[in-house]
Amino acid sequence: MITMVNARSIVHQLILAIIIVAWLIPLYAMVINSFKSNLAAQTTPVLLPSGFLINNIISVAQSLAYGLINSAIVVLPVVVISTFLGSLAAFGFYRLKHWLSDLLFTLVAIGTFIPYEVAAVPLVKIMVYLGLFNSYAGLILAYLIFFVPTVALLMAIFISVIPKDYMEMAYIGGASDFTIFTRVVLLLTMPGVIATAIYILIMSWNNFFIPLVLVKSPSLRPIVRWSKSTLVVMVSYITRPTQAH
Amino acid sequence: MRSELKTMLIFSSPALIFGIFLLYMLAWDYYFSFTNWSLFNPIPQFVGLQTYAKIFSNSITVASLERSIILAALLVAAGNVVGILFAGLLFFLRNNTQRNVYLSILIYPLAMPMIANAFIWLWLYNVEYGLDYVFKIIGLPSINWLGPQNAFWSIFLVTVWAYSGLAVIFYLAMLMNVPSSVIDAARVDGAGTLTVYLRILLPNVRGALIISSALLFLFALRIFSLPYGMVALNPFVETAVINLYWDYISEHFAEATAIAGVVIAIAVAVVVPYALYGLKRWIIQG
Repeated sequence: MITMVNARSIVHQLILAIIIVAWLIPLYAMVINSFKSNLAAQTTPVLLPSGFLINNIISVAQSLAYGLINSAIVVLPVVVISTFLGSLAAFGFYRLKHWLSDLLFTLVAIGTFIPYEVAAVPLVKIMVYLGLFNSYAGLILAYLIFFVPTVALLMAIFISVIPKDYMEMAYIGGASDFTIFTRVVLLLTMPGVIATAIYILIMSWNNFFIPLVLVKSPSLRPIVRWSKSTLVVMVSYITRPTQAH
Repeated sequence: MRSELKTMLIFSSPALIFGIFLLYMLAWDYYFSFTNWSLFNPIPQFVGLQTYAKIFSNSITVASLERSIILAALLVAAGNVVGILFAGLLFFLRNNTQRNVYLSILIYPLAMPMIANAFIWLWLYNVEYGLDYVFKIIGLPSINWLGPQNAFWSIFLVTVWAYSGLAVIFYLAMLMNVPSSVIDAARVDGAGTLTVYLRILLPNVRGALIISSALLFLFALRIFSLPYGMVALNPFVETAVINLYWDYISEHFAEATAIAGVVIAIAVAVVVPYALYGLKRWIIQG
């Protein structure tokens, strides 16, 4: 009996180990190849280490400094503003049980889950109209349009589990709605607020599509845009199989 | 009631302004999808459904829409299978630290930029030095990963690696919520691990099925950076949003907005029932 249980747990551990190793292969390949020389990265097996060039990191850090700064300038205001405004709206939805909040909740869900790629054309045209095309402000505004509804949706989930008594007590104590929001709701949902802020940070930091359509001058490009030069994009567009229009 | 409505509207209004902006852009898409606006017709004219007729008679656009829907359906299926399987394997681990470390490894691709994933997998899919190098050593036939016939499946494999961690989180979270007394009772009655999992635990995690299916479908529908970064030139992996982007770049604005209209309709068809039933029930149950 004991040997059977052991055999089972060994198989269990073995399957998990295989899955975990498979999942780590791309990360491993990325780290290994980031230390190779330019030539070796193209002519040695991807999964085998070859050399250890710390220079790569240094030279990349220098050429990417602009990208990193651009990303930070855009992403930090987006995270702070969207987390605050989205949480405020989520608290607003929560306070009222009304048919209107169902409607708004559905609209927020649509805003969260609509593929933002579909808004490419209007987004560019509107930003050009507002004079915000190719600017930090335009990028920040675009991220806010897409991420404030996301925060509202996520925070609605976190706020819904706060015990009602806590808020009742604050009301009886004479606190205003805004005080309750800052002193009770935000404090009690702090883990949720942080998780949401991290999610927005990742989503906006990693975003490739929105800067791709909204930014034209290289000096404004966030870090993610540097991974593919404009030249490659243009060449791939020109040589693309033509569409029958 | 009246004052509460006012408070709610004041609190929600900043977010609503952004939401209205978003809806305005979607309406904008629909408005111009009924015109013939393009580089050659700089002054848009109303043409009814002609633009839609045009995109549905364009074989590349139709194929890209079909491909997006097939990719979404495949990712929903594969993501849920992986989610159920891996969450089960993690759930029956005794060691909490081990479970947390493994879960983090399964979800780290979610935090990586898709465009970076594209370039890493481009390496791995290299026919000479990538995974094929290992395949050759252990005697497996090498695969032309990004060849015309295989590229779609190679992209699909990357999306499974990148997104199914999401399903694992939801399934595992809901499994952890099943009261342990229920599991113990079944064990006392002599049920094995597999029976407990299939008969007791899985029926209790239907919520995870709803959430992960909706999210995986929408992630697959919106996927852009991965095929764009890996194989921008390969028409065999052109998804609907990439097709839209090329139409926009080549200033076929009416066509781009018409494709947007179709993609929005598909997304809304998934989101609305999900928001009304899945999410709301989840929130009310709290």
